[in-house]
Amino acid sequence: MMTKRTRTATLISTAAAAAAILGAGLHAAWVKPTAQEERAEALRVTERLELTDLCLFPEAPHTRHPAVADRHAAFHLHPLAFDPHPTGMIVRPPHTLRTP
Amino acid sequence: MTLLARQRRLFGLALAAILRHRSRHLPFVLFYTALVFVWASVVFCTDALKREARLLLRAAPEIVVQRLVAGRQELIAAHHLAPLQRIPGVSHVRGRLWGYHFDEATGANLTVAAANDSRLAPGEVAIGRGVARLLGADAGETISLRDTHGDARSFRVAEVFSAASELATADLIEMTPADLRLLLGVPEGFFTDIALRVANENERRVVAAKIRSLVPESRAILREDIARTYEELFDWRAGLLFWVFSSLAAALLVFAWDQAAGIGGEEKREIGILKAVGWEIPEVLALKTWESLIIASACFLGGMTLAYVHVFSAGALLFAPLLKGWAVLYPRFALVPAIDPPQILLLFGVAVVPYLAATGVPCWRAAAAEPEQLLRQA
Repeated sequence: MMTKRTRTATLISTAAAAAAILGAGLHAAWVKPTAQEERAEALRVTERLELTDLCLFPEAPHTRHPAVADRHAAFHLHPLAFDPHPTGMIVRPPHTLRTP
Repeated sequence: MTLLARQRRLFGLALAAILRHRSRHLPFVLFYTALVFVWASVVFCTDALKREARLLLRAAPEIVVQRLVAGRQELIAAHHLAPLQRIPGVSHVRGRLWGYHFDEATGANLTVAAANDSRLAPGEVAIGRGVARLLGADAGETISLRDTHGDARSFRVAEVFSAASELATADLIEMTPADLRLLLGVPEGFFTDIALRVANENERRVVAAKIRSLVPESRAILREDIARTYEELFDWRAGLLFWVFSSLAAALLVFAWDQAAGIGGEEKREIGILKAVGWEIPEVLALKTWESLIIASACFLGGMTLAYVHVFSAGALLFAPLLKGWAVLYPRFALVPAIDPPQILLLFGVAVVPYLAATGVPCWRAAAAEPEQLLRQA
């Protein structure tokens, strides 16, 4: 039989779980329109300057634009190369090196 | 008693048992929650970055043509523009002028780009927020850049790109084509590469093949390939982190097995009494499964909620060093939150099902034992 304490604990835990899920969902829905509006300018700049890459790895020229980087760039060899930059460790090796 | 009422009662009993033995469960719950938190943070972070990449790449040119000499990218001559424009399916062709500028004073690599329809006057630049922070410059102020001849050239900052576009523009300096040619030493009649717009998705591969026949020393990079590169890049990084934390997951499963197998004296007495008053193996097993499910679900929800707050409110604070690397200049951006039901279900499956499987066998052993034996052991 459920005691009063157990019942309270059940109610609180269920309510907390529901609140967590609902809260995250509502927060995501709430910020989405603002985020889309904010990203519109990024899209405009990308389209106007015809950019091809995200500014995620700006530590060196060969990592800044991985999509159009020179094939001789250090991180295009393989991720265990003696790469002076951390990107070489976290960027996936090219397709040709993944299949024998 | 109906099935639902029975399960509700079993749920209540399981919850009461967990609360009674909370000091035994607490270390495990903390470990489990921390592991779910790390995994969910990696998934949230990776998926948010993928969404950003997909969104920004929607505006990228469909095909970029580079000229290769001895395997390295070289400037491409403007006379290639006209033949490329005549390829059926190509709606627009433009020579892109862009390059890198190493700022010796700060040690940062900056991207310099020019638009054909530039709103800027000669001697004016628009800079990204990262550049503005790095050089301490704001709109209306002047920045100085060293050109290929070693001479310092001054530019007036006409505009600072908004914070919302930082993921694309943090290290960017936009200037007029003429200024870019002088700064980077790109001669007239040449471009860095050529961007093509091809509206029909099905024609892009054909157009790329045609480009290779028209300009044999070139390589054509399709937007789909760029998008795939980013998808793989983020999957690769998430995969590396998963491998690192998989050892923790293995430790968690061993912990779960050990905890379920090492039932304490009081719990043995409880099971013994239940069996002595007529409970069957399936009922005891259901009770134990409810206990495991409640613990797993609580840890899953706790870990997920913490991960959501960590990634979307605290800017993935714990992963920032790995994400940012050693760059002098790095964009400041907030990831856009999104809840993806299949992703949550997948995380639930990965986090909860192995735990239920690991605790199943020890629970069945306890349920199958004779009441007399259990009471004697207690």
